[in-house]
Amino acid sequence: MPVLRFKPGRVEEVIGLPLNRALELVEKLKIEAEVREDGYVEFEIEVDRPDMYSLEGIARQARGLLGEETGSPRYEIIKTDYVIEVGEVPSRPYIAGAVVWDVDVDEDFLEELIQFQEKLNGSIGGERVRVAIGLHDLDKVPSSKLTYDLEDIDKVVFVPLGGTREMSLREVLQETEQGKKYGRISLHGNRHPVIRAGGKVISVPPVINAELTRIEPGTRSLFIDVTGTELKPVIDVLSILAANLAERSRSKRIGLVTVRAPWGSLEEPRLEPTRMTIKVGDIQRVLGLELNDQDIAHYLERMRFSARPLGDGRIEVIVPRYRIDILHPVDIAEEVLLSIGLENIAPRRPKLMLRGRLLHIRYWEREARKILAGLGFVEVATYTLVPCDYATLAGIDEGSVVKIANPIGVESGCVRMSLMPGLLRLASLNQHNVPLRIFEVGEVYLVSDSSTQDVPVIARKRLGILVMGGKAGYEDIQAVVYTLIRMLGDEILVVEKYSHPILIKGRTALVKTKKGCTIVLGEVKPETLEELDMEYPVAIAEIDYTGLIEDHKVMPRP
Amino acid sequence: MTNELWLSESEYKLLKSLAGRIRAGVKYSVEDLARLAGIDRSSVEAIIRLLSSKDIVVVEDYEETTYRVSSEAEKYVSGFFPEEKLVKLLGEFGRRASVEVLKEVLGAELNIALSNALRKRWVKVSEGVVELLVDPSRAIAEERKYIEALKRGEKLSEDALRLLRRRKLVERVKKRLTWVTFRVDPSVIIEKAVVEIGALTRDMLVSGEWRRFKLREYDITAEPPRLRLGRLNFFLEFIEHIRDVMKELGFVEVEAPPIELEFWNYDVLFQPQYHPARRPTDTFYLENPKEGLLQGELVLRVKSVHEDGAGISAGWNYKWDQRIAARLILRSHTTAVSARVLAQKPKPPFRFFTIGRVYRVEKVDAKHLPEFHQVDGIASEEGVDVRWLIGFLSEFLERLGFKEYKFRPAYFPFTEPSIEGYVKVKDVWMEVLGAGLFRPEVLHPMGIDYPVAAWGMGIERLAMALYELTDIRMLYSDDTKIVEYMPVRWWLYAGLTL
Repeated sequence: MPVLRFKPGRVEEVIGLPLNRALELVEKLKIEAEVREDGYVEFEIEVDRPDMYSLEGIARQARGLLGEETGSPRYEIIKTDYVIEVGEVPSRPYIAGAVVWDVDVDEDFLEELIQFQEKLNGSIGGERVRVAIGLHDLDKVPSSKLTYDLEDIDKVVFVPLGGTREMSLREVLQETEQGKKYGRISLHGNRHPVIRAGGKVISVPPVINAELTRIEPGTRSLFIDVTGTELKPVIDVLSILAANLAERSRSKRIGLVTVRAPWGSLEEPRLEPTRMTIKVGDIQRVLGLELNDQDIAHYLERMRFSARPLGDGRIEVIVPRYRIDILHPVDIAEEVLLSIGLENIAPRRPKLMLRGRLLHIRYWEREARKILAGLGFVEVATYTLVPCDYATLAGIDEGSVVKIANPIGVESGCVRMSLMPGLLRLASLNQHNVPLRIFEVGEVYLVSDSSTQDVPVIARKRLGILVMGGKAGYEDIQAVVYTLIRMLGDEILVVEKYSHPILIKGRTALVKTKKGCTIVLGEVKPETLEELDMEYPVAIAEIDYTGLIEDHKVMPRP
Repeated sequence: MTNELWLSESEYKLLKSLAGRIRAGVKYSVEDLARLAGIDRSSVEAIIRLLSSKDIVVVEDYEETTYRVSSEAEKYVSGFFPEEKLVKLLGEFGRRASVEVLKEVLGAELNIALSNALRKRWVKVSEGVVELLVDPSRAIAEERKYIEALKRGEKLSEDALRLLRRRKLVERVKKRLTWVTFRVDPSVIIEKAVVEIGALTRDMLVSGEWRRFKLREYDITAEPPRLRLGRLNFFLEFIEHIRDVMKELGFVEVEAPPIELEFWNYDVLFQPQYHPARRPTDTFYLENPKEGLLQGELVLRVKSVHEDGAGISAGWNYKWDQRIAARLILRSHTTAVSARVLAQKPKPPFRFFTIGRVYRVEKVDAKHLPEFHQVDGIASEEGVDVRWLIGFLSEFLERLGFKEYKFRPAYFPFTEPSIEGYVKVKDVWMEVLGAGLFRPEVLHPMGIDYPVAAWGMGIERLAMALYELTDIRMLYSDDTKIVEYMPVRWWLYAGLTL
């Protein structure tokens, strides 16, 4: 969730309320507000509301809730002679621009502006991959005639923002911090997108602007460029920027920029609102409240929509262009809810009586656990993300192990394939607590070679049991397993010799029970114990009880 | 004896084993007694002191001084004393020799040899020349005689001892001797005494011997030994408690493995493919197996609702990629299980829940784990709406024992409206659950036209708060003692005083 930081004085100034009242009010807008130790106010804003990533956007909503300004806001949109001629830029085809006059940048606002841009780039912009923003001092843009094209990175020379000398674009991509971070996103062979104004480089999206058009305290008006890989989010971001910056502008004037591109022409930001017709009945059904069309329209006006009852149980809602989160009438219902305030809605407890049920296997698990506790075993809980080399201890081929592509470390590179390695590890760490008797219930996962399963993985339900002590042998674990199985109303059906890489030959068994459990049990080899730095003998068992439920699958896959 | 004589178990044991072997009025050393009783010397010594305090024995302590021949003296006795060597040497040199010449032969020993030979008037020294005064064959050191006598165990005169000690030829050794005299025969004592014992044994009961014994009074306030025990895991028991609460609320349990197609974790839930959570910085992707099988009409319907809203919504307006949806991940929330259940179009009224592990790319620290448990529920019935939802959530939180809770509006890609639930634990508000009504963009592709409420809750953070743990890793502790000795908070299960 994006977190924005503002100076408390700015919050009071822009929202127009004392700080504590302002913080209370923004809570109604799904914003979590907190004053930090360093004196800054932190707003945690939901990801669906990029139009509130600047203080002006928040204040626009706050004034609605206070009744100071309601309905959809108006901005003066005028034609300009700013034109961007676009070439073939396959790596980043889309661009749009805007002019906002009379923004009057000071030090505080400059800080907020950079934050606004970064939060948009980071969230909706997909770390600049989908959308990236360039902001310029309008008075420093050398010409109203702009171009956007792919250019040879060795032939583009300019001073990057914050730089002190001219660099080739290749140097900028290779040497600057921004270049290293974003330089590969839109690089197309040896060429990279470049925006020029009057022939001078002003930006190399999505990497960095030129020093030439730097915004600083004293900057009056802004030129905005937005580039991206898809047109809709480019216009979305441009519209949010223009509308929010216009909120700060004295004149509220926004200038249209013409774009002529191989994919078509446009003139933006027109801030054309969408119209949505909603049914009173739908709003009532979602919220469970008896509201009439007048009430709903009133609540929506306070949320900065224009709403007009049509008289037939329907309401026409004008959705401002920057509200990119409104996709469906259900989103309008939520706006009504926010306007009323969740705290003003009385809960209604469910009256219907339904019969609850646990998975049948839970009862087997619960009884098995109780019996083991009675036999003096401590139940442990371990992680399902395990080192991949557990496969060797489990005697499982590495190809059958579910492996993670982006693990956080070698200790958690694979998904648990057996309970034995984890129990052994715990035993090795608890040699100060001998004799040790532990068990764990949990699922393990193995890759399946079936081509008909939607997820080619087999899940097995397992119960692992371990005994460690001055003398812990086959009989010690065998007695526990036999007692457990018999006390669970099952029978030992087959006992066969078995071979397992970490268990002693001739002291390892495969046991099958009448109800469908398969059990491997045995004494751990001294070689294995030595490898694990263990000084005490260990006997171990792993019961696979998946067979108990296979006949009546609880939830078939769709 | 008019007063009762009390004996401890160990005193009784010693006396019993000495009975018949010693006589009253005779002095025995502790060593003798230890040998006779077959008990180690230090135990016997300790018991004897106790018996002495009860006036049963008289104990006399002596200190005896003996002398031990030093290793230097041993060397001299088996060879020559330094002064003997000097005299012998002078004999060979014609009775006189210069100090320099002698030093070359005798080295550092010359000083000792000279001072002793001078004291014994065997030689004289003038102007750097040593001259022999006696017959070399008669010059035998008297110390040799004394040491040999000492070794034979003879007593030496004080003068002789002083001489040997000055030359460090003997070391003084002090030895403590304890003599014990029994006033009365031990067999008489044990006849009369009442024995105090610690533990009552089967033998005493069978033989009737217990009558002779008095059970000692214990320090009943002393801490007993800590017992080892078998235990169910406190954290897993907390999860079982949540299961029971869900069952009580009329929910039916379902489950699915945590290895999931992105489709069920994200796409079906209307989370666009460019969403920041769908990146390797947030979601665990699999290397083996990499992808699953994705087919059927639902896939096309989900594609359509993402791309253009499928006629009911504005959609997300981007090109939906089936290959992305077919990638395998570790699920990031149990809502993926709820999505699978919903796709089967269950008939309302229904309530389903699942509890399972979920995975997020997080570095392990006191507050974060890359895997944790969630409980997720879905419900549909006549009148499911926002008021019903907060009514249901209130019921759920109260049944978990929370008296103070509140709800706030929130955002999730798959529900609208969405809310978050907070509970007060020890005066701190903590966010515990997310809930909402599934978006039409989720339900429509499945062909569901009735409202469905959904909610989910992380379990670890709640368990930490209720068990007052400061580190989440305590729930999965490597130290089995922590699990073994964690006191159970049964009152949580009774719904008391949260």
